Amino acid sequence: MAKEYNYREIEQKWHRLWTERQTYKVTEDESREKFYVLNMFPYPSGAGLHVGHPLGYIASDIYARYKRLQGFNVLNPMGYDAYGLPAEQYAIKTGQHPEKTTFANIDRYREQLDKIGFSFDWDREVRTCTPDYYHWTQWAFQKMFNSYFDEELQKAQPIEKLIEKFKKEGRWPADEKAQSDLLMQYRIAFLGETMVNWCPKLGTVLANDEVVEGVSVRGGYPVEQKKMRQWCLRVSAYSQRLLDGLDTIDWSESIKETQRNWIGRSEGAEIEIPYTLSKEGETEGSFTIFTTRADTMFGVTFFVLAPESELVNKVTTPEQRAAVDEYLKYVKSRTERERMIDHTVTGVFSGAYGINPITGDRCPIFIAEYVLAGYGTGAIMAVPAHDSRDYAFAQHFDLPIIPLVEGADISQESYDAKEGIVCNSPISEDKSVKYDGESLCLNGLSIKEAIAETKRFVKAHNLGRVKVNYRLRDAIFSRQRYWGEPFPVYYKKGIPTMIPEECLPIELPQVEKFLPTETGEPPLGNAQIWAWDEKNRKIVDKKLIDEKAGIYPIELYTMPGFAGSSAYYLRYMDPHNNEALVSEKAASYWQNVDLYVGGSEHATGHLIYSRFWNKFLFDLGVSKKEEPFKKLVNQGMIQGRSNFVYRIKETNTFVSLLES
Amino acid sequence: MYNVVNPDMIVENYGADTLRLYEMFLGPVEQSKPWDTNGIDGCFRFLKKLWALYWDKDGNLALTDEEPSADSLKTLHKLIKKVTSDIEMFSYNTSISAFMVAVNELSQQKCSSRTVLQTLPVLIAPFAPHIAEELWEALGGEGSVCDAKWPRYEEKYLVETSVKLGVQFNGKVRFDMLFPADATPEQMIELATSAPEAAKYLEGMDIVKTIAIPKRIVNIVVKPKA
Repeated sequence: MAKEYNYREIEQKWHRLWTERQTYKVTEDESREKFYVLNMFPYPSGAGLHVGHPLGYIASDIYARYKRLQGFNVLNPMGYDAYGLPAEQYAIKTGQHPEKTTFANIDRYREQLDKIGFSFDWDREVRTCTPDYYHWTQWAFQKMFNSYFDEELQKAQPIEKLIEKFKKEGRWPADEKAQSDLLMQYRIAFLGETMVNWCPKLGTVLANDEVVEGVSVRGGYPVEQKKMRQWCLRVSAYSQRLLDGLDTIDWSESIKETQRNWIGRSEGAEIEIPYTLSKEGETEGSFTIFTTRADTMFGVTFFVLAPESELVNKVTTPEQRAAVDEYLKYVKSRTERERMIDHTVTGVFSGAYGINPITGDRCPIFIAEYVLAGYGTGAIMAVPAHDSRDYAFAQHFDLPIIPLVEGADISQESYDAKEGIVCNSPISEDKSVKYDGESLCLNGLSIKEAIAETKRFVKAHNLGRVKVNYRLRDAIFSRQRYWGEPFPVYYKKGIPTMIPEECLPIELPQVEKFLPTETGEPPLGNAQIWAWDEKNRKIVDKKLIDEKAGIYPIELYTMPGFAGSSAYYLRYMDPHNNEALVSEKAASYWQNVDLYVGGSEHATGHLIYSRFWNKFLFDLGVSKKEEPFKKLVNQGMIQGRSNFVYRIKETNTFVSLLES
Repeated sequence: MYNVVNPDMIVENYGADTLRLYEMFLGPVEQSKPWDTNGIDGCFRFLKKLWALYWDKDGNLALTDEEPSADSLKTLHKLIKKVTSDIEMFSYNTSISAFMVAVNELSQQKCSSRTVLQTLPVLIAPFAPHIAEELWEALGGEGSVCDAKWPRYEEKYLVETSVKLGVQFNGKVRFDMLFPADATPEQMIELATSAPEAAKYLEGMDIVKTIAIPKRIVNIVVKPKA
């Protein structure tokens, strides 16, 4: 008998020997060159591993093993992104603690992963929901709270430096609350009032990618836009560095382009627009618009405000009030992302007119959802001849369209290209307002020249300022959920105050119910032992809350899913360190991830947040590289088979999937 | 049958090494692709074939210390070259195809050379680590196959020593024959016309013209003798 290929025996034997011999254990070894392979770690769902999961893990494992055979010291760790909504929803339904279900799921994942024979060093496993791990998530948050972004240095600096500066400039208020409010405008982790996707049924704020067509992805509950106090991360401060960094990394051009668009850098001008409440009326005030095409100011035929803009209230006339209110109600049901993607024309006239400072013309001011509050100033000038969305709007509301480029055909669509020779700018000599005896004339110039000339004119006559704008928003960093990292923050006389670094981690308290409280507080409102005793530096019963005794309430929000996944690659380098996120030695040896494998669906989420988080830690000197992931490979999806009709073997009979 | 197929089932019925090969064989890593279980058997059969290279009919290791044949060396070095460059490009599906081709060639060549067969487990180790460890151990390899040395291919083994060409008479291919790769046109014509298979095409014919381009073509134009 020839020797049979007994895979079962062989594989069991080697699983045992690999464990016994610690074949995949890796330590820092200065004599060998390192190579760091990383998979996007999984969320341990109840369904277990499906065939799509191992695809990326196998691909990276092959590379890791190959690099090891070539003599590299390879780090190939695995862990779990353990916080998440499904476990919490399950807990609400069954009363079972999310930690219990999460750990049970992890055990099942592990069992399944072990069967496939990966070269993971399991001694380095991390779980984002364990206190020894989220210790460093909380720590990083506190560091961000205690830092500001120095525009000149383009990097994070200790907040004390800013206080010094304010003191020197005589801008440092005496009142503690005023001090806190002032610094809040600069801190990298800050408390702000922001528009959020609020899901009343789930009782929580949702990220943009958790909302589709106005309902929550999980559960399909309605989601509305609401202004709420939220912790935020000043990701936008890092816009330019996030953009520049893309040129230094080996990622696919499509992911880089997605990120470039998401960051959305544009150079433009901010221009002051006076407004009146009727066509002939007196000037009531002014607002600022942001435009990247100031050269098209001769073609402005209306202005548009974002529905959330504070100006909306000011410019709405009594006659238009009811229509405006109704429109605002509609917009509230839409998420920012939907508004960016859906190009259906909607809007309402405010009743007011803006005065174009270049032509002197009075143009109607509309309110429309296609202008987003967060972009620029939340107010734009509309040039329908040369912007497709303005064009659609003008067509819909029957507004004039003035072409500004010679020979441009605008009968069917706008002419958006930045090429050609400028005309109608101005239409006639009296249609260009004189400033200090000079009026702007762009006729005959190329568009490029016109842009430069307009910039000069606007600057010279103080009509506005030249400005770089980014579309990238700050990240909302709090959730009204139970199953997440608690904030190491208490409220001392209403002022958010950090629990001392030495007292971290602040562990997630036990609660009876995982739902919001009856008074509408987040689930942590159900925790009884949840107050900070400043003097004894410990968590105590909230019955004891008493300002005079120095016992204060602790934050009830928890951190969002991306908190724990933003720096996990650093923790794998030194997962058992109780003194630091990662030791100097380990960070210096492993540097950053050489090969990162995962899905492209994280292009504007995790892959932006972790780059931001790493840049912040790089500023602190904790991370040794400006970019966390040198090379990124996005594995494709495994899709279900698409044939619905099958042929019966060796016949010409076909059956559909439904029949068979 | 869809994305919910659980890998445990495949591991149970075919083994982890088959699952690993199979998932990579579905297509390029970065492309989306349909889940199609038809390929599983092929990967499983390939591993069995690889395994069979090493054992005689009594279940003993069937390796010899003889010099490997030029063909076997060529198969091996072609494989090393292909797999090394494919892995660098994450083109694992083409690596696996190359493995399949190589194992077929080696079985046809009845290769039992230790030199060749000791290198194979190292090459396959990233893809199918269990079978690789088992073979490595059976061959007396030191430590884990994970810490073996990745082989380098040598260009000299890739050089074609002989080239198979179809010999044409009046533009029609009549038979195949091997020519030394460095044969001159004159030598090629000499070899072709003196081959036993050529006899019947030359009988009663005059050779009018010959065309020979090394490694490309041999054509002999004939016409009946006057």
